[in-house]
Amino acid sequence: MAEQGGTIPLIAARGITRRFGAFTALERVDFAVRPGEIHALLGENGAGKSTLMNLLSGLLRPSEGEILLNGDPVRFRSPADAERQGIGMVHQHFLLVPPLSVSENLLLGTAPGMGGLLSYPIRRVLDEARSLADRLGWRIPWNAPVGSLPVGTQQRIEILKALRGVTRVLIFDEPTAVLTPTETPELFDTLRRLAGEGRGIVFISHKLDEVLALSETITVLRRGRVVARTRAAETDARSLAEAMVGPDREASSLIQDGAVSASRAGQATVPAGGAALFVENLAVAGQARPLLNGLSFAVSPGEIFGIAGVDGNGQGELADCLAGLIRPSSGTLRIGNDQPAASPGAFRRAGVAVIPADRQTRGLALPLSLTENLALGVYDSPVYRRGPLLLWPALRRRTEDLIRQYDIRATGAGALARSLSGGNQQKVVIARALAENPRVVVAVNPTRGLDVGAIAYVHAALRGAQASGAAIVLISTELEEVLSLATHRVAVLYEGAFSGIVSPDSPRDEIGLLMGGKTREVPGAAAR
Amino acid sequence: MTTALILSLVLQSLAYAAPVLLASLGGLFSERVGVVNIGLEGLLLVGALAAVVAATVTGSALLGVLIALLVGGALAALFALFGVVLRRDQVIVGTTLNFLALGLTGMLYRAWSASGSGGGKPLPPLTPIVGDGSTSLNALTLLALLLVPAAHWLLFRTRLGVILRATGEVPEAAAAGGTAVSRLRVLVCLLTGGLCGLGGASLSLGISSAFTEGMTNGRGFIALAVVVFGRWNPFGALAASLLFAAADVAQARLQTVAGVQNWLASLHLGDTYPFFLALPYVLTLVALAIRGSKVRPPAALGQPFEQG
Repeated sequence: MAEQGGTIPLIAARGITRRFGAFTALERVDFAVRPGEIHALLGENGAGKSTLMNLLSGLLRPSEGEILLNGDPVRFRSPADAERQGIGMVHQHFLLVPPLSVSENLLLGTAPGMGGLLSYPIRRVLDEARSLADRLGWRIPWNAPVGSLPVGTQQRIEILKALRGVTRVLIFDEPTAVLTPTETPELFDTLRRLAGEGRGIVFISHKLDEVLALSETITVLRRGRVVARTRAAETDARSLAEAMVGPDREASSLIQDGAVSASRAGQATVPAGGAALFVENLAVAGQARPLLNGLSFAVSPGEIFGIAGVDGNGQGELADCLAGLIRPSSGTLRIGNDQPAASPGAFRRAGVAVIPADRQTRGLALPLSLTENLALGVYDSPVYRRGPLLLWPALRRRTEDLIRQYDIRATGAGALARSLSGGNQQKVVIARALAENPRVVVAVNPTRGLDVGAIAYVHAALRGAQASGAAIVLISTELEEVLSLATHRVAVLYEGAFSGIVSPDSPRDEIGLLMGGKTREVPGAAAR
Repeated sequence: MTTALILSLVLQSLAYAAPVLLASLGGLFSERVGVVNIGLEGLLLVGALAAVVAATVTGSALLGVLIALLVGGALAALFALFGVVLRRDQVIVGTTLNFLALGLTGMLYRAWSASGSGGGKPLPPLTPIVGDGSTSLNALTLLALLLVPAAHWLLFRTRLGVILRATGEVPEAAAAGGTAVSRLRVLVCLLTGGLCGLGGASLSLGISSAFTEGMTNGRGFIALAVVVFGRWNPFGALAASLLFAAADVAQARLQTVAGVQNWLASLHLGDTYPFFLALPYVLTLVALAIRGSKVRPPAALGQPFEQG
């Protein structure tokens, strides 16, 4: 711990281990922040970053090891206790009360020292906050309801809440995740200024560029262990990414050998054999204009059919049609030779699996356990049901198998879906979609909001399904994703119709034009 | 109309508003911290009985009021235990509370009457603070009116008020600021029970000078509507309570006006009495329908909170 400079760390973790039941979230982790230092904590979702921060900010207590405050062992009883001792935390999800004014929100967070419950020390709170805001060059509408302010300003209010006279260490949990591109540099200026005043800054992120641009020291966590600690000046994005993701990533249980190279072979030709998914003249009426208008395409087993386009051009409606959630106004939809009725159950029985766009509202029942979530869709099967009763032991065994197979980091089959990190939640959704070897997979923005490692994982899982013969429809607004995954053809959705179907190797500018609505027919690449 | 008549109508409306106002202030505080208490009706009813029994037995209206306050609080503690501490569905707990209160007060009142305990002694009246006879203001009515600015001050001009409001909106934020959310909610539940107890006393001692089974007649539910109509603001609750009470007083007076009687009889609707009784409730319903659609309740209303 003493290798960096001679100053005593403001706060340090020494040999910290934290377990949740049988699950070890952090194992013998060392970490320290010195005065004036911006220390980045890098890692994938689920690597243990949040656990470490919750330990340092008093929300959790270590199973083993100790926390040192200015060199002395300390045991925080609560976040409020940690705050009193100078540790402030700016959460990714703001803890602000939208209908309350800025000043009331600041008042809410003040220590009881500011006066009794029946006092209203709003002026003193405001004076303190104003002088801080002036120093940082911020203009803040103190009497406006917080909910009416831009996210960047809300974050400044969170920073003002976390910063008080005694605060020496400020922890930022993925602070740039919610910001617009113009707000991010402003936040970085703030962080540098705060560090310049002698505070220690912990900056949690999984964005490599930001970490390299901002921080002085970088600690990389993977699977609850420190795998790298380096100075920003002595490293680059590639080696950080490797440390974050790990050398064993490609050996993930899901990737079949050769799947990746095979997927790029034989571009621009439609695979032979009957189509697994056949769509003809699909239309969905809208109020002013049709939401989908005359879509025709067929997807063969072993193909990833990419659908690109700017958000809001009919992606949602197309996905809902393919999932059986809405009934198209006209057109034909066939799965193999079946023509299922427009209900999700009928489509599922026909062999369609869906990875929906929003995993938290449509993909998972967050308050339910993994077993319950993974039982959805298979509870009809005689394997898991006897008469009206579910066979929970069988369902639990299946969940445990899937947890292993899909490398889901959770405390067990009984863990609530809510308790998982975003990447692991998506793994559950994918496990459920792919477990029963579907004929057709409909994936909508499957990597939205995920970090590098989780994205690689999702891509590998889709390629794995494709290699084992599923027909995959990938609807994504990430052009790079569509182009890298689509095996033969990429269709571009524009105002509910395909403005073109092209090879994924087509020039970007051409696809860009299609996304902007410039129609172009590619001979031989059209449907069927 | 003479000034005396207007004055007596106003004072009577204020007295009729008191039970609804007190219960709605209780409901308002509950909802502000994120607790939805459907049981206001039951709490009012229990308060009404407790006040009559205690006042008769002790011979003191003041003691009756104090006992009603305590009994209301005690019953609300039951609600808090299930609805907040054990995190059961608050609507179901509140509904259960209403049925419990209805059955329990009826049974106890009959038992108490049958045992003759109430027979001998008279019920001491709430002595007027201002005026006398039909133009008077009793202490509970005055208290209810004074509680309105007090509640407003507490909610909007104190640190506690900020904490209360934050607890009903984003309890996590309140907890992060050092508030023990569940404990605060329990305390507010007790306050709600106490206020409803006072409301019950103002009904049985202040208006009726007697207890009858189910005498609250849905005033607890009206109070819930009043909270919404008043946009979770004490002055709004006052206005809505007065509207209900004025309609209640008006219908009672209208029944005795010969012209109205004759007009209604000419419509051949049969027994017209229920139309009068329904008037304040219909009015409240209509007012709520007009205004209620645009208001936004506290974001965490009815949601259990688990301290992290």
